[in-house]
Amino acid sequence: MHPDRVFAIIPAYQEAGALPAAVRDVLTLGYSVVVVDDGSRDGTEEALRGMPIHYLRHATNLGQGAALQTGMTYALSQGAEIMVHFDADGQHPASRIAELIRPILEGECDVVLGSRFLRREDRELVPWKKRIALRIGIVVSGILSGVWLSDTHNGFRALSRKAASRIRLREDGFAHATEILGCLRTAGLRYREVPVAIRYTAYSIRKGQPVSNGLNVVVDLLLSRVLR
Amino acid sequence: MTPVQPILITLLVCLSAIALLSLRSRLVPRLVVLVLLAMGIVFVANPQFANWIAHRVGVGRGADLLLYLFSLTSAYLFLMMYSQLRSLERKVTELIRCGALRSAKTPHEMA
Repeated sequence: MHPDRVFAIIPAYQEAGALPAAVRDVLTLGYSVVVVDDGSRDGTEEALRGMPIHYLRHATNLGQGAALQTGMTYALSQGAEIMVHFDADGQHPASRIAELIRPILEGECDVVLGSRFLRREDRELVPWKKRIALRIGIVVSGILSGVWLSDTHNGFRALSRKAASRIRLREDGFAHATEILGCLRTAGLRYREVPVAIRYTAYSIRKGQPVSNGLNVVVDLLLSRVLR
Repeated sequence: MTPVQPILITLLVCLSAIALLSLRSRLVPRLVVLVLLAMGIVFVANPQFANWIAHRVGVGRGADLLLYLFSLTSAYLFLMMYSQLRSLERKVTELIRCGALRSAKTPHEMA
């Protein structure tokens, strides 16, 4: 498969500083890039001018889940064969995309999820506070989705065209990570985890979600279960 | 009749009228409002009636019974409003997504 059939979907909100470098890393490898600007007001579009990317803009900030769904809908319409969810703040290594999509290319599964907890060296890169929150998230996601993984809120994942067509994210915010797991089960998709190292920088930690936001995610998921 | 009773009944009627007007073409919610209004008037006009029901269902006082009913109704209304808010949010998301897809810029336009 030609690399340009692989679409990296990058949701971005107020990431004009770090985004161009992350996009450049992906473009260098020959993949197509879809940036979904989630209502930024920091000149994100101008920062990306001159780059051969697909650019979509939400008129207002909706959330990462909504931006990913917009990106997937668009990528499907452009003939994408594989879609990779990729962070805008540069913490996902573009060089690992080939490793991430390999199981899909080889027909082993429909969805590949990056995990920070499969290898000791990757695990040690995760700040301890985040590690505890993620462990709790794994248990909550497992209970709510019925899918038990070693890492559930890792945004680095790849989906085949079939998987992306069957998944329709309704959670606009960060609860989409757990929602995707539920979709894996209900849509009968084959999945596996691969180890990934996430580069935590002072910038990405500052821009990332506070640990306390996990509680909001849980409340969102529980209420959406009751009130679909 | 105590002085507060006509005030409370007037307020109940006014609030119900506003609710009935705002619930256009929605028969069931309008009926619920009318039932609540009738119950409200009965409980205000005859407080002993609330005490009588409270004793029958094993709650000490009529005021406690009304407090429980109020709490349950509030929780139900909160959930209904949250549900409607989610539904509205989904519509907004679809609208904004539609706009984003329509005005997508291709690599050729960005380069």
